[in-house]
Amino acid sequence: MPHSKQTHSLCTPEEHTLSRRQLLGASTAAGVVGLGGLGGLVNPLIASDMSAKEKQVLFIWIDGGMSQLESWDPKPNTQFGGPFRSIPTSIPGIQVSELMPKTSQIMHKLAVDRGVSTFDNSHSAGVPRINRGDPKDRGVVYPYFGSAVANLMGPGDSGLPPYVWVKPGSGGFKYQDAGFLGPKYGALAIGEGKPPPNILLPSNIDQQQNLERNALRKFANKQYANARAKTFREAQDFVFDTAQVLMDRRTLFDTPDASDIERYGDTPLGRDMLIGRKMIEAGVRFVKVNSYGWDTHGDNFNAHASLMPRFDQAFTAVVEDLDQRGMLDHVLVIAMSEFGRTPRINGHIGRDHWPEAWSIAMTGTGIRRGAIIGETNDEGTWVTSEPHDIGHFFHTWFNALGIDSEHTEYINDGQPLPIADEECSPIQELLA
Amino acid sequence: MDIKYTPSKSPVADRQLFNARFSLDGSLLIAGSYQGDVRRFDLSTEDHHELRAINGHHAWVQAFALHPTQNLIVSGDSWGKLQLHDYTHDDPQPLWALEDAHDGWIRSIAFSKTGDWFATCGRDQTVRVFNTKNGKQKRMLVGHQADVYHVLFHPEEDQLLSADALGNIFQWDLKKQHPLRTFDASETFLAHRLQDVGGVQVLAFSPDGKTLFAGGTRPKNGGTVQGVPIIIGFSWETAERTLLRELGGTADCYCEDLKFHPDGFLMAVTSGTPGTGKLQFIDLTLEEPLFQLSSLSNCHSLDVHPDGETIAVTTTVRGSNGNGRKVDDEGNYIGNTSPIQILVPELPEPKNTNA
Repeated sequence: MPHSKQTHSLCTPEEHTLSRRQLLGASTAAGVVGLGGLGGLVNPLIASDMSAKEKQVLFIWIDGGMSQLESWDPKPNTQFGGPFRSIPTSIPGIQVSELMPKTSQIMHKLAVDRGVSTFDNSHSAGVPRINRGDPKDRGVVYPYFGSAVANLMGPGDSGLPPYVWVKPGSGGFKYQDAGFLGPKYGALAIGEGKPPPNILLPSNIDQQQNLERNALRKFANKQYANARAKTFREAQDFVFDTAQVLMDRRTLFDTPDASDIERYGDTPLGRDMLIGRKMIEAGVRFVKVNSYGWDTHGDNFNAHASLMPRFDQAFTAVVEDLDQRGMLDHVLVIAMSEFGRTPRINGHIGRDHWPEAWSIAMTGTGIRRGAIIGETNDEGTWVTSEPHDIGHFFHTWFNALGIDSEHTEYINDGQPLPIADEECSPIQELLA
Repeated sequence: MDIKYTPSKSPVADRQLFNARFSLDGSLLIAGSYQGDVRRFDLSTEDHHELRAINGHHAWVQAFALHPTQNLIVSGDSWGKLQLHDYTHDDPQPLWALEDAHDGWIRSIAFSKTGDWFATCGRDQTVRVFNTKNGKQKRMLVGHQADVYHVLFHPEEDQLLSADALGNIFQWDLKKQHPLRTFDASETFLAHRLQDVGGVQVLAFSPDGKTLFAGGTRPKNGGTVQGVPIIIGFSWETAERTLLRELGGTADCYCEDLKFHPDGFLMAVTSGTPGTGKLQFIDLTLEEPLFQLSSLSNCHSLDVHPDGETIAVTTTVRGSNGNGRKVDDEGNYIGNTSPIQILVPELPEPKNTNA
């Protein structure tokens, strides 16, 4: 899995297990990564404008590649259609795989593009390319979508970090996503649904002593910061502030209600989606929820028979919850992989990587609900409508969040950079 | 052990195939397809001419069974439909059909010894028993907690067994309609990340009915599933495990089919990572296989001709996997096929095979 396997000379395996102490210590590494530039800055006027809009993003990353044929774009009883039936949805004439019975009932709340066509068919190239929106190469490393939103829209008023990543496996501070924006726009990862250990104050330290400790720390930090670049200071402040906020918001990690577990599913994805909802409710600007295990080169159909119900349940529950709370009016929800899976069924009864024709689902703020757009041919091999690359989606999502993607730029060390591929444009049919 | 091999006569349909089986008199080779029909190949012709398909199914026809004494085939598809046909007819018409015999994917069908009734199982976690003559359902057996992959009758007794994706094998009390005994093959199952992997793929009895064999994998991971193909043997009398045989390494993955040769040895095929497949002849008293053919690609079924010599193995096209677009010279997307390899082995001397 590309994310978890990313390494850096300054990042040891131990640092992937987040504790309060380790979180504080991570600032040093993060600051070093930012050396050599002032970091990415969006035009300050735009950033302040965005923060007032209080829009948020729930980004559901289905790592490895969900099969479009076993989900959003079934081609039943065709050469490559696989064993499953398609079922009607809440939108007349629109069908999805039988593996999505719950999702089928909320299709009118979703928008789905079945005409996605991208270029990279390997995980190593596809994951970063898709997450960065595939801008032109300008000699800089573009940020992942979460870091971009954190930078463009700011953290909001919650005091929580702007980019939280809820995932199986290890937690920690994942500064790599931020690219040229600088480490403070990296992701705070919550691994296995667990809060950072030692997040509560030791029992022998009271609040007054803690205040005094922090005053001493700030004094020391000031001397430390004076001799270092701005990105050092920002990263240092960010991780200390984050640690303090998490200490104050320990309840975010309380055991969920039994009824919530039942609705979301007693699975890692159900658990993480529930934490994701809590993070959104608490005001985190961008929450990424990861699901691993979708790279089904072998036994694809039994695998999707196992995987899809877990996705179906957790995805439907979070969309319904956000809708019932009136939060879809300001939360953009996206569910996607780095690519789809081949129509051809290999000898291991698996499907391989297929970026040529796949699907992305979304809902929430700025999105036209019930819009099922894009088409593939009868066998699902090629897109027959206007193909949409990932750049089109970045434009679409930025606009859904109220950001004029065609006239907003990052300022990187004096260099203006477009926030989305300038050869693409928003997909108007998806926008409300 | 020497083996003669006739690749030039291997039937290849324009769709991928499941479970090639010889007809009662051996004149036909019959296989379910990945697109809603049953294919028939005339073995009396030089090119193994493909006859008119048995139509009327939807999607995958993974499950079918041939009647033990008549030229009848019961076939089931992945949408839950069952049909009965005379498979020797030029244009086979259904003798009966049940559109919703199961809720979805029918995985396996087995006839009873007399052929008067047959059992089915599937993704709806049920095992069902039907009257062959009219297709009327006689029993619905509930108890599995996962997809049921295989059904099998004991060769001498009217005892029905079923095996599921979690590695549980049930012997059913057909009158009371509940499990009578359980055979534990749970090491064939792994919950990997969000994905359930493995389960018992196939069951077989020794010819004397004293040993039950379960084929599957000892899973290592999901995704590109890897695992060691294994056969687990159980005493029919005690349900105790009597044997565990590994058929390869982690790339070899699943034991997909098991059959006893008339000469008394066990045959198995495996399917692993794309391009990997084996046929093995196994004398259970020996550690090494009597014979192994590793040049086949992803073997999914095997059957023995009534002549007792010819073997059919369903395989796939080596190199049929791969990321991204594969198109022919005219730009058409290339699908996969399932060549049926027909093998004429020189058989070993019969040996004692009871585990």
